[in-house]
Amino acid sequence: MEPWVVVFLVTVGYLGLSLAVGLLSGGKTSAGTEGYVAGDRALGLLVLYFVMGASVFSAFAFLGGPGWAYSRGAAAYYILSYTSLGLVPMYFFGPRVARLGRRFGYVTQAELFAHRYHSRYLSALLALISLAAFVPYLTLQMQGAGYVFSIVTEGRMPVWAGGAVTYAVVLLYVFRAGVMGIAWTNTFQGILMMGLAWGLGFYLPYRLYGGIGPMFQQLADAAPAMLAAPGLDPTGAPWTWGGYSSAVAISVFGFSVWPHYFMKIYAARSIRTLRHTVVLYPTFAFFLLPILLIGFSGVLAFPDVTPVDTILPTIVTSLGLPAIVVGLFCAGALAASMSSGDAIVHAAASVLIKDGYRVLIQPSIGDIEETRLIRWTVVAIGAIAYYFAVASEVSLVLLLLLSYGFIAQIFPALIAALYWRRSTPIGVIGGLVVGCVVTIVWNLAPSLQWEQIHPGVWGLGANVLVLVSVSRATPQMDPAHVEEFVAA
Amino acid sequence: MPQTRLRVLAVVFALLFIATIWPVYPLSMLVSGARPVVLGLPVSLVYVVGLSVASFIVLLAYELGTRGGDDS
Repeated sequence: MEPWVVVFLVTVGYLGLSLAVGLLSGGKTSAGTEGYVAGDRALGLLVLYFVMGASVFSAFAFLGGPGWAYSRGAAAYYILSYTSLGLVPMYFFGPRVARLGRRFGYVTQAELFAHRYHSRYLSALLALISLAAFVPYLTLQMQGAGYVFSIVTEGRMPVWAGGAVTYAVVLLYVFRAGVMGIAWTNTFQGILMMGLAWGLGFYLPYRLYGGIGPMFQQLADAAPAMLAAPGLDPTGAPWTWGGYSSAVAISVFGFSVWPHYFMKIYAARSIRTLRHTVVLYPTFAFFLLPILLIGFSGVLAFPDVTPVDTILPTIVTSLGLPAIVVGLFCAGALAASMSSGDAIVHAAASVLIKDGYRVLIQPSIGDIEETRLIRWTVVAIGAIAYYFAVASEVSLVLLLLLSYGFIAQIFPALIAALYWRRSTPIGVIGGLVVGCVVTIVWNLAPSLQWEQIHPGVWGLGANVLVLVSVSRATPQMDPAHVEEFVAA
Repeated sequence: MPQTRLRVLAVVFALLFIATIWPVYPLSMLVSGARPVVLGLPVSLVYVVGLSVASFIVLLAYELGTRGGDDS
């Protein structure tokens, strides 16, 4: 049997196993949105840990992480910093959000804001921001899956077909089982990715250089600028500290308020479970370290690989490894894409229906009907992202850059909602709108950028300024209502 | 008292966050340079990994010591 056939069969076997795990996870929750979106608030520590961990471990981390280390050296350390600190804010605000979720029945992020500020426009605005951030992210996951299949079959299977097969599996188990399908497949996928990351991260430096120490010694001799923080920018010139620091900052502020993570607060079995998940989370983030080692191992051994995100598959397919090992690597790369894509498509559909459609168009919709609509919206959003993945000429890189900046704008609004009694609906909406507009303008006008500081940071500054000044200038909300949130 | 402890924890994490970025990280090439190689890793990477481990230990110790303030 030809090696590519073995690799293909291992990859298809992984997909079949994921589908089986996802489909078998369904049917254990109630039929309404609390079951489909929040898993009846019953996720235990093991599953919640893997859901949070595997969701962040996307195709970007699995393929893009080595690509960053390979092309930009120490710049890639920012990924380690933000993943180990990014969930920490949830240790502080998470218990409060969980208590409010149980008391008032929230399953999405915007439901909390809409209730706190008595504003359906805020709900719709957050739905819009979330969707604008989710779709490019989902599109990139689909493209990543397509590339994996194309590599597996040595070009026999086109990118569009690989993306279609992989995401047909994802949509099937998300449609059928909702958050429980995501939870159990993410557990399976997380274990697979952890094993592969640590295995390859230690094996490749030993195979290519005789060890991690010798690899870095040779790199320090040949390319010291690459190992000195803050590393290099995309052109290969030294990156600025402004660029590095703002990348860490915008990621840390945005990380815990990404709606697909935030919504898992409602899914936790208890507040203790939630806290323990946040405490243990960095153990998952630590395995980004071997991912970066993989990228560094390619610098001297495989120079001039383009695009840089293909460095990991290039190394794996160039070393004459057994076909089964290559197949497992491909399965791991698919797992990275799927474990983020499933949570994103599920959250996007839930947000669109609960925070957009129900609030603006049909407030009287029943629980079962709403769940049915969310399921079909999962399919619709999957189809839209697939269109962007294979047919659209829209710049995804720009959209993705914008999405990080957009999501971080939710952080000040959340802090104000839970900790600042004086905040008002107009102040929060004004802050969000101005923050997003500033982020867009700073992205589109390179002349405004200074020291390569992330546009989202300027957006955050404007957001906080408007939030505080407009809140102070507008009438205070009913203190008894506000107290329910600030003292929760 | 639990609120005071939580505020102290927030300050500790704010300091850990600041330590990962400008101006603390680049203060000295001792921690941001390519050399020396410590435990097989360049010191710039050891510094980042060390801060990540430190933040994990701080939160774990807080959780074990206080049970987070409530267990509902």
